[in-house]
Amino acid sequence: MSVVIEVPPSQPDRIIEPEGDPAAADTLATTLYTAAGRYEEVADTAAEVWWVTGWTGDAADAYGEATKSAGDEHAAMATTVQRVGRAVTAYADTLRDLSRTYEELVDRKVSLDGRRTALVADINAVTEATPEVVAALRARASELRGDYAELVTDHDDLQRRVREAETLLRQAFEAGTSLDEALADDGGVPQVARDVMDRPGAPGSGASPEQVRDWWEGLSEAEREAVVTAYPERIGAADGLPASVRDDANRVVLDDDLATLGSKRDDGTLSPTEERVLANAEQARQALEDADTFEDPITGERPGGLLHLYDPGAFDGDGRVAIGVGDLDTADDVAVLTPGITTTMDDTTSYTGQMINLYEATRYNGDGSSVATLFWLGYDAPDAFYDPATATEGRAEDGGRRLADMVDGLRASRPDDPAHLTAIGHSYGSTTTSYAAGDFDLRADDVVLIGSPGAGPADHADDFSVGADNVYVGRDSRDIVAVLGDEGWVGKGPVGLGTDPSSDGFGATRFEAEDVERAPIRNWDDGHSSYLHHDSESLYNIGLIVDGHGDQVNVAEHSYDPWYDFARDPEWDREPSSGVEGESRTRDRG
Amino acid sequence: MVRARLAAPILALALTALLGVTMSACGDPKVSPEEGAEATTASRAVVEDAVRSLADVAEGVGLDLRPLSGGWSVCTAEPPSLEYSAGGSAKPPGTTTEAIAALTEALETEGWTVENAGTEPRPYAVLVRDDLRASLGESRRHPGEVDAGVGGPCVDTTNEQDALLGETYDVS
Repeated sequence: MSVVIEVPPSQPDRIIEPEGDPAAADTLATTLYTAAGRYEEVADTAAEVWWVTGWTGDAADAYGEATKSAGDEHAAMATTVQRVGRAVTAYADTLRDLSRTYEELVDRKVSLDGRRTALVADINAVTEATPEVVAALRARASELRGDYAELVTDHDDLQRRVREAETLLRQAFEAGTSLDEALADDGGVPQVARDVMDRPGAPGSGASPEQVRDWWEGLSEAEREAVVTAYPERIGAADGLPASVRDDANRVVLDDDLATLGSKRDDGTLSPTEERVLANAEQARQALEDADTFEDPITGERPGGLLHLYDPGAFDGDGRVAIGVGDLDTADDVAVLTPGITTTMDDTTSYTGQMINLYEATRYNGDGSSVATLFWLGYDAPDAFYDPATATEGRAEDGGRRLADMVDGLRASRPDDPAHLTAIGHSYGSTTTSYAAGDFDLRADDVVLIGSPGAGPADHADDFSVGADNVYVGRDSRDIVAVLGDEGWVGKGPVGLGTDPSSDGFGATRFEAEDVERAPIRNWDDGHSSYLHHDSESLYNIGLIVDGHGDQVNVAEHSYDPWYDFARDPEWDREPSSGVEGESRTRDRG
Repeated sequence: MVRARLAAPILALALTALLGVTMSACGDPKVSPEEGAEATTASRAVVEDAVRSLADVAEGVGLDLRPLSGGWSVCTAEPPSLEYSAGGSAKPPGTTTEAIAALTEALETEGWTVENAGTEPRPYAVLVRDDLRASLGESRRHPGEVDAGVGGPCVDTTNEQDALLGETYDVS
């Protein structure tokens, strides 16, 4: 009796490699950005020379009109060329993704073909076709058939994405081909992108994060690519969208800024404002490079960086930015750090370094859950201690609203897979965080205030949206800022920004946060700025909280204010540690 | 009571004056870019010398820590400061507890002083010499191995040193 075992054919015949060279596309994009910069330079010059002092009359009027018109046209042309450049940048990024997919498919086909060859050999080697042997071989054949079918589907999908990427790029070029199109407000924007942005729920329409998420989920893959390419600023700042999407969009804008402003710098035509924007862009690039190359302390894998917010010209050049370390879309534990006064985009690399420290510490002493940490400078932090904005709390209140909105966006982007989320505020950022949790229903699980000059609107930890049991405070006894908050019967007058959250009446959990190198007197440097320093008590405890184990922090006694004297800090005389297991060890050295 | 009533405005004034003086440029770098560059170069050299010596000592107790690697991490964001540390890990001939104790003892003979040591919840030791800090413990990344390294002090920097953060150095 003969037995038939149908071995599936190897398919597809071959994996078709996407055509195109990402590096060449990058070069083309840089050329376009440079060209856009040139158009901008002409527009800038026209704005400066359209009026000639002392020259009046018909000829002067005609000259002025013509110059202004030329300036406007060059500005419009710059915008269109810039959009096309961004389309090319996005195409290059897509091409890299597609190339990686292609490599994966090639590997899968090699593997499947190997299994097929082995199956054929095993069938031919059968000498006694018992029912069990035949069933086993048929099962392998069936499984192989299913895997080939899946490969064919994925290969078709790859080819479809290749075509869509090429179509999108072609549409971007075509939308700016004629002079009229190039000078139009939406020159270089493909029609599909315009149509999609007109739908309800689109970013920038006043839609809620949940509506923005629903809008995104209703788009096809080609439509998504189109809007990321055509409207990267709006997509990159849209609360409710996946962090990976915002990252893609923001990196397009970042590449544009670096290339366009870099070429203007080379030409010597950079204005002071543009100089600052370029410096901010370079900080973001450096920070992303650090985050992208950082290795997880346990697995050695690279969790990657995310450009979650990028607006380098905001707040009179201080900039708005958010850089993530790890995958905000999937991490079990997410931490958001809000910094304090004097922080601008100039500090992005340093704060991203602190987010790397926090990621490392959380994973190092963690329970194995995945982690993502985010430096969030989404508000206009006061410029200095003597900035009147520092004393008024207005920036903290505005920042609190923005922080709560951003966290709403994170929540909305993961409706079925909520992360354990910790909001950390440092210095004035702790007051900002307090406003978010006190007045704007911050949707965090835990709140950590470090180096706090006061808890803003909250008199008690119970006033926070997370509840008193989930409010933690770190205060180095030498921190000159953390003694400013009102405390006890005496109080300190109008110096602080609300109640001292480390005081015994506030009701938060205070954790050990003394720096081993602390000075004998209160100060700004080590005392106020070392809370996220490796192998410190503070970083150890914050890592535990971020990991979801706030109940395991090493608790410190609250500060208190005897009615007859100034406030006392029981931590003042305790000997701090560094690098001690269970207290302050946060990383391997090797 | 009188003292307390007076205390509030006096303290407020004193703190305001103090902060006005000490924090007028609180987030600014404390050094020039050139000073930052010199300080980071010097600190890295000192740490790498120390960690090579530590690795030599470790070899004497059966631990081959090489290859050694180093890198920078952030101490403070404002004002900016960085810390260089370097080290390696090795599988011990016996238990990690025994190896850490033996290496601790050997380092003490080389001029290091034990600042902290223990076995709970895992064996570890922290030793200091000048402004360097040696850290020994069980490796999290390589379970069953001893991790050992040296960290330098926090060094004041400027934005010009930011690029150091992404670098990894082969110290061997």
